[in-house]
Amino acid sequence: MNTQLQVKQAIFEPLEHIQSPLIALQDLYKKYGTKTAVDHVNLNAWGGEVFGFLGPNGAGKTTTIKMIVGLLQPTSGTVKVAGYDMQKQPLQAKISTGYVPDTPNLYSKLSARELLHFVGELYRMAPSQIDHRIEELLRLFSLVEAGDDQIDSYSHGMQQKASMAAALMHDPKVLVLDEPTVGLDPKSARLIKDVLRQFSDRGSLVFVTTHILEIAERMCDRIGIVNKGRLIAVGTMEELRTIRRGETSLEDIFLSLTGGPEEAELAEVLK
Amino acid sequence: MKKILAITWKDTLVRFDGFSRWLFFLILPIVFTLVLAGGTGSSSDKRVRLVVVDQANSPLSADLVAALENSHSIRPDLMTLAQAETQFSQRSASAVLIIPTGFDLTHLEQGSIPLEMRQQPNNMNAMVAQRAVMSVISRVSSAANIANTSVAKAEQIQAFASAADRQVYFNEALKQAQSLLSAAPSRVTESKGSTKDSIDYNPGANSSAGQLITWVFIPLLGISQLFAVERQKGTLRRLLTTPTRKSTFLLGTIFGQVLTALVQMLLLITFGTFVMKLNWGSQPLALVVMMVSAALAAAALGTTLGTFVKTDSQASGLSVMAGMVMALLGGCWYPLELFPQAVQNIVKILPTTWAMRGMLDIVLRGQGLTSILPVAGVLIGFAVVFFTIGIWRFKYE
Repeated sequence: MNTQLQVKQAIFEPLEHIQSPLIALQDLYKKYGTKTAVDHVNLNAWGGEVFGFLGPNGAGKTTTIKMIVGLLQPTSGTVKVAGYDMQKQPLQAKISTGYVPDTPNLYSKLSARELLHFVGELYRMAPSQIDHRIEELLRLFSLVEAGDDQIDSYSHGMQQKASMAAALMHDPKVLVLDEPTVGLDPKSARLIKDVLRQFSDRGSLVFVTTHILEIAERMCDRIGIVNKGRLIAVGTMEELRTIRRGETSLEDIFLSLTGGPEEAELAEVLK
Repeated sequence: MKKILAITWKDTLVRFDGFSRWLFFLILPIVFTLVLAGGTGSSSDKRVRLVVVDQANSPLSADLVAALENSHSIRPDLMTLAQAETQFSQRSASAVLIIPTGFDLTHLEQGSIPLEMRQQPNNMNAMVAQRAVMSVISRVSSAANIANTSVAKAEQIQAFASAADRQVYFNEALKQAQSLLSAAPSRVTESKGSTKDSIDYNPGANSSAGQLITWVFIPLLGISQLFAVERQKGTLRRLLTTPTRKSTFLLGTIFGQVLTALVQMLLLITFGTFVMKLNWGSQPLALVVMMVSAALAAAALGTTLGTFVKTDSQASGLSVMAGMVMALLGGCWYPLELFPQAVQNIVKILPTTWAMRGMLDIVLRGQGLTSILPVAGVLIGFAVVFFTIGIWRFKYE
């Protein structure tokens, strides 16, 4: 067993079985002026699964994610994370959540080690726990050597890995990722996919948006497809194939669900 | 509290990421303080310095230099011609008086001896030096004139037996004339007015207080830049996905900057006290109250500014410009009393004006807590108003 796998096993100890959903969206609705961004979405996602949240541009994915992580207030409906209402108990809900945005959004003048230390303190981790966790995560993401360099000297891939390390610092129950593999080289993308799999296998929930359908198809246990603010399909790949008889790939299912017949035909021609 | 300290520590790491930050934090403030104070350990002698080159080295030239030493307005500084010319060409000397070879009684008996006076153009100190030199020369030459007149009168009565006798008579006459002139009763009675000078000015104290306020206000106004950077880079958005309240973020950021400003003030005050020998430490409690109230007022203004800017560069430009203008108008670079009365009234709306007044009350006038409390109260008032506006208008996205 190599060192990386040993680290993964060490930092992703199995959680106790959790019966209730780790993310529960109930009649979630968000309106900007007269425009409806999220239209009465109901969705449950459980621990131990990688949940893919797909949709075309402007479908309401980012708005939904922002409400899940507490950056936006819903117009109506509720978001519960690990059983806590994000509006009524935001601090408890946020303790259970790790968020990886599509762009790293890191303090570029800090080193990865300083950043992780800062994040650990925000989550009120004990100093010894912080130091231990930093070393684990730097090893996991192959950032040990660059750990004391300023983040602005990192490549995009290294920044994305530092961003993910920051989200995992407090060992959350729920990890929310927005397009995590964008701009990554194949090796880094593979590492991140492995880490997410390992993370969900120990009982946590990975809630991920991606527009790379191939990744979603391979990586996600269940997929939710959103279009024009509405959740139009949820299920495993098998369940989605059942819904759209005759469509075998996620791309076909996605296009037939989110586009009109013209778009589906165009996609067929372009294959 | 742990989170507030974590945010403070993070901001400190981000702020002091290179040498240039230390340049603005400590080095430039000290350099500007020294330049505007005219150097360290400046003499308590406030007379205008006059560079004097004595090429004659005669008793008469020594008398002239001694007379210059006794002047109320100029202070002779003897040096060689080469040194004097270097200083004059570098404009570090306002005026140079050259006493030529042959400036002695023998030559004076035979007629006038021209002295050379070099002056910088359009220089007030040079004009003061010229008038003082003319006055001193007039006094020194009076004795010689009296001696010459005595010799002439004596010759009209009876010619001298020899030139040596004539010289002895001249010397004796000169000695008596000098003695009588020095003992002559003053024709001007001097008395000092009881009305206090409206301009309290000490180059060292004014420079130390003014530069302290300038270089502390600018980074505190730069809180607006911190907010803009956090919003622009998305780090604030990300921070708010952690269990951190918005109020904790604001408190941590502002507390960190105020703490840094207090450390900066303390270092500059320590420099002023030990290197420039300024009286910063006589009223420590009053000083602490002034430091805290000034820092809070500036931080509050920075918080409000942060709600009007959208980008890092806007905030950076605005904070430096606003800081410099407010410092200038607040009397941090020139005594406020030099401005017209209308301007002096208008600038009371600036926190820098009050901060400068309070600091000068301590370092220049030696006033205590009771005296500076009204000024500190005004600054706290600024802080309350600007924090209220800033927090009310603050946007996290």
